[in-house]
Amino acid sequence: MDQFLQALINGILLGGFYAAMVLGFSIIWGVMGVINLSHGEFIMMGAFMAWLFSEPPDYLMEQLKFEALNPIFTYLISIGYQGMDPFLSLIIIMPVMFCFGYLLQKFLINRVVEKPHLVSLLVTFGLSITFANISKLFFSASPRSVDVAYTGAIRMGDVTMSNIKAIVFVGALIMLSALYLFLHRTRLGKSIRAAAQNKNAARMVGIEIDTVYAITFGLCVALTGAAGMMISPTQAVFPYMGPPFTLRAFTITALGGLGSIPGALVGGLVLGITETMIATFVPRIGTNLAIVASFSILVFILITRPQGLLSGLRPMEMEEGT
Amino acid sequence: MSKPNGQEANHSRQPLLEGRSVSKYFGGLAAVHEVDFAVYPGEIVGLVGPNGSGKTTLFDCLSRVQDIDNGQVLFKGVDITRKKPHQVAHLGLARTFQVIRVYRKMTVLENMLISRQWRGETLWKMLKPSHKDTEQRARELIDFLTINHLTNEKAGNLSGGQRRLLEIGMSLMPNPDLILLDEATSGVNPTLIETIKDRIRALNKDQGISFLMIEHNIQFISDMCSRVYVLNYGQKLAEGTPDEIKANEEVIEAYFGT
Repeated sequence: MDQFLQALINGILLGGFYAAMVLGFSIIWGVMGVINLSHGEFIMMGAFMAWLFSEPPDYLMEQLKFEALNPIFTYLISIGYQGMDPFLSLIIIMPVMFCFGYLLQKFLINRVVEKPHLVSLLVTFGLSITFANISKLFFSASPRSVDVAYTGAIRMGDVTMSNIKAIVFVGALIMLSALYLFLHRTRLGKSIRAAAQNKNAARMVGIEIDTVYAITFGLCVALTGAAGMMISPTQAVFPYMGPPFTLRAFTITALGGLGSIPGALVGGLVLGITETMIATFVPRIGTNLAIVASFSILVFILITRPQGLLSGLRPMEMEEGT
Repeated sequence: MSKPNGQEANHSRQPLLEGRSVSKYFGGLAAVHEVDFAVYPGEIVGLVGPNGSGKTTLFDCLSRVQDIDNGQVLFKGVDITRKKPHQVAHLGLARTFQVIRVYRKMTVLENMLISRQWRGETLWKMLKPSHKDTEQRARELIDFLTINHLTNEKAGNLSGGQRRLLEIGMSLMPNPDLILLDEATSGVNPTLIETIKDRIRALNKDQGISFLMIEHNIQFISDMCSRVYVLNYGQKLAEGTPDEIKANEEVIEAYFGT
């Protein structure tokens, strides 16, 4: 029973992270109809940035062997900088990722938004490979770990809850609520929802769809980068860590509905709990079987309820067309 | 039959909207082929034609949702042939759609507020709720369109006719000079058709808003429009007053076949 309770709590914590992790993927799909296969790579970037900011500069200088950056590291050493808390680095990671996403949409993705799905799939697949390999060039393929000062666990009776996972869970809930409020309370958020529901009508009342798309993409990449930072203390950071996250994002979005924030939470929890349960209770192969659960849930949902459990930004009866 | 309003357009003036040899091709199919037309300030003009004659495609070209392959479109003397939809909207051209385009998951008021233009807005302002003046205008228009009892209702729960009225309201939010109405009466019950008629007349007469309307309801066209263009197979078949059009042999042929 204790083991079950422990697995359930771990599953819920993991599910909370999944919900935050999937937001960017789900909103981009819901708003502009682009299935972003490079989603996992944005997580990887966020995680690597967390690593960069958390390590002391002399260690980075030794690890990266990138001569061009040495003056920066030397300067940082000279002012006595010793790396910052990874969670604190979010205040840099999110704006940087926002700008990156904004520009990426403006100059690349925007050219394929109106094209058939296959085109945007190919472009984002290409981006995924490109980002992973550029990261390998920079950081090498060796796995890195991001350390935080407050490891340890909260003990409640017979079950424990890791500090970091608890913080990540709270962070995820904050991200979900902030995004929900943004989309439902601000005019920009409402414009994004309007563009998702009805692109041409939104254009005809003067909403600049290109700008809405670029802001949406930037925002989603920022959220995804933040999720990457959040996962970095609990798993190895390496250039090819992305694809399993893209797959999970796909499953959760299929479960929860395109662009639906409550759907992301429900889908994230279902997947998180399922994976943890399988990993805990299936002997020996459980951990490896967990990812199989993603596929199985995806296939099951696509057969039984292709519109997702909860309706999202783009209700199915409102498909685009003129 | 009373002819409407201040529609005595002065044709010597510059047209509000003018199309010169507008063409749109889908592969080898000429959806719109070298169509010339003009809408003068203060006019209500009809655009009729059998299904598939290119009316909605022409609207799509004018509102720049579709690219124009050949020809030129001028709005208030400005060449909009290559402009983007939101730029055309900013110039004062609004449209409604054949398949009603309201945001079903938002309330009537939210639908109206979202339809406020972006022009001149800073990002900071966009992060705040709508301005009081905008909300005031939205509420006035909701009253004007006689749907004030539905202000806080989700648009998805409205009837077809109520959604048409809401859509017209949304197109009015940016203060347009010309509205392209795509089948404003389809699927609307007769009582609400009278309301729509009445409201369009008021907008035309009191605010000087011009209309170009696609319509299958010939009675509606006769009552509302001073001039009518007829399209068939993407080409202009005829133009004239509603009475002239109704008497035109070619038009009768095109509509009712042989």
